[in-house]
Amino acid sequence: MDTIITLDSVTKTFREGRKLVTAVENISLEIARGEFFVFLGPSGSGKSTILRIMSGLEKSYHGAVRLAPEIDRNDISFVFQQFALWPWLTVYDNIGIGLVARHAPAPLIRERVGRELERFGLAKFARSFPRELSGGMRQRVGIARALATDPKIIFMDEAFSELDSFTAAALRRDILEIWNQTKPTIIMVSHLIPEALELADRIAVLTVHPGRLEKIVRNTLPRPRAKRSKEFFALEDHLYSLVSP
Amino acid sequence: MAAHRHRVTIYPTKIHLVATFFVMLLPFVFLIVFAGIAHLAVGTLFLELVASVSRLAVAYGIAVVLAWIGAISFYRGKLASVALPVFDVLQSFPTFAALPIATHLWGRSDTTVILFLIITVIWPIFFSILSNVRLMKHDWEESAEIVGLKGFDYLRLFVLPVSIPGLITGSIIGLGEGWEALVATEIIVRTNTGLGNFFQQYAQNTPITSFGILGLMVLIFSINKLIWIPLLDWSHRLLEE
Ligand SMILES: Nc1ncnc2c1ncn2[C@@H]1O[C@H](COP(=O)(O)OP(=O)(O)O)[C@@H](O)[C@H]1O
Ligand SMILES: [Mg+2]
Repeated sequence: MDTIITLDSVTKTFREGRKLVTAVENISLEIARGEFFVFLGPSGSGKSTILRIMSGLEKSYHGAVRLAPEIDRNDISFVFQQFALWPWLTVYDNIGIGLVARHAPAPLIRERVGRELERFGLAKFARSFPRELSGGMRQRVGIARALATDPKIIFMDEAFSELDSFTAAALRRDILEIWNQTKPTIIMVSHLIPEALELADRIAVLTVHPGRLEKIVRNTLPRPRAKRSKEFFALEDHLYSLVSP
Repeated sequence: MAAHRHRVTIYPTKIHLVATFFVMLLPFVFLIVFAGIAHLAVGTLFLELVASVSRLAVAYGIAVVLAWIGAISFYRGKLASVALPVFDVLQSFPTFAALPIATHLWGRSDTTVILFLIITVIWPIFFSILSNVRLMKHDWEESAEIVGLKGFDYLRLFVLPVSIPGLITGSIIGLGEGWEALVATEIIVRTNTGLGNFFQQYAQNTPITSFGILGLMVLIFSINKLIWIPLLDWSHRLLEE
């Protein structure tokens, strides 16, 4: 396997008052370059914690996270569950912030932000502020911000769970299309089995308290995936039995 | 579509802006009328006012910079838990008690007055920025980290906007206390110029003193209403999601 990121016995324990909570226990796995990988589990199973550890946001944990040698911090993006847009910046400036941080030349910033505005139908909102947009539009800005730097790895933490189901479905299609075009590695977290099945090449099923890796399920259903097919339902049942044994 | 309806503007209407401009002229109108009534030279009175206001302005400028640097250095991390209790104690220091010593050291000078104004104005600004920044959404910080903002860019594009509401709230409180401290300090230090000196000089003349105090009140009220309150509203909208 052409591995881009490796977890080696990763464990994370939080102290809550006098109690110790093991959010993630002894997780080891490898994710391949260009793979669409989903962590699936109920809330509290340590999904966000794993993602934060892998992306470098959480720095104190046991075990090791290894990135392929050519990957550095500039190749990583993150799409947040609650968008995490900056209200004091316009849509345009929010999308361009990663490029500004990398001191990209002005023409490149214009080109990339323009590309993302176009791709997500945000062009006429370029000068708007995030608060003027609907939830779906805000998350489009969140994804556009993550894509503008042409990342090699994109982390997504329940990126669609704050959106209505129609908007979420539309954004899943957008994400799949983008992934098909340039094949970045996408590492996503979800608590929805159908969502995981629609998107993922492989699904890591996590259990709650402590957050343990139950099993990694390979999803070889042909794309685009027929959500009403017998195979889809069979895999859905299988995942369901793993999540709630 | 809705793009241009909720622009981040400080003044809701042009009338507001024009009114603000006229309020800036008010002190001059007031001076001329007042000088006429009190049979004083407009120039003298103007210089008193300029002396006082510039002391407050210099003190405020220094206090803002120091408070901001302090607040953003201490708002999180290990240093904060040590430093904040210390600042709490420092804040309770009764500044006027030290005035005689300061006067002894620096004389009846601008330095003495300005130093005391800084000590008065700085704490509300410092604590207001601090509490505001500490309440900031954790999400924003994480996105700043992921996006890779560092150094001066991080200060300019992230820390500064996030601290503006606290800065403005703190400035309103700080300057409110600053006006009072200004006149008091000038009287205690016995400066040769300024409003304190003016009130001292006319202590026997109740109408002149009352009129002076009234003028000052109107001025401060107008500055708040027309400059600080719109700034406050604007700063709240700045971080509104
Ligand atoms: N910063 C934190 N402090 C204390 N406990 C935490 C913290 N973050 C997560 N936890 C705990 O770790 C467990 C897993 O949390 P999380 O990774 O957010 O799960 P998920 O994203 O799957 O819902 C939960 O029990 C949660 O209470
Ligand atoms: Mg989570």
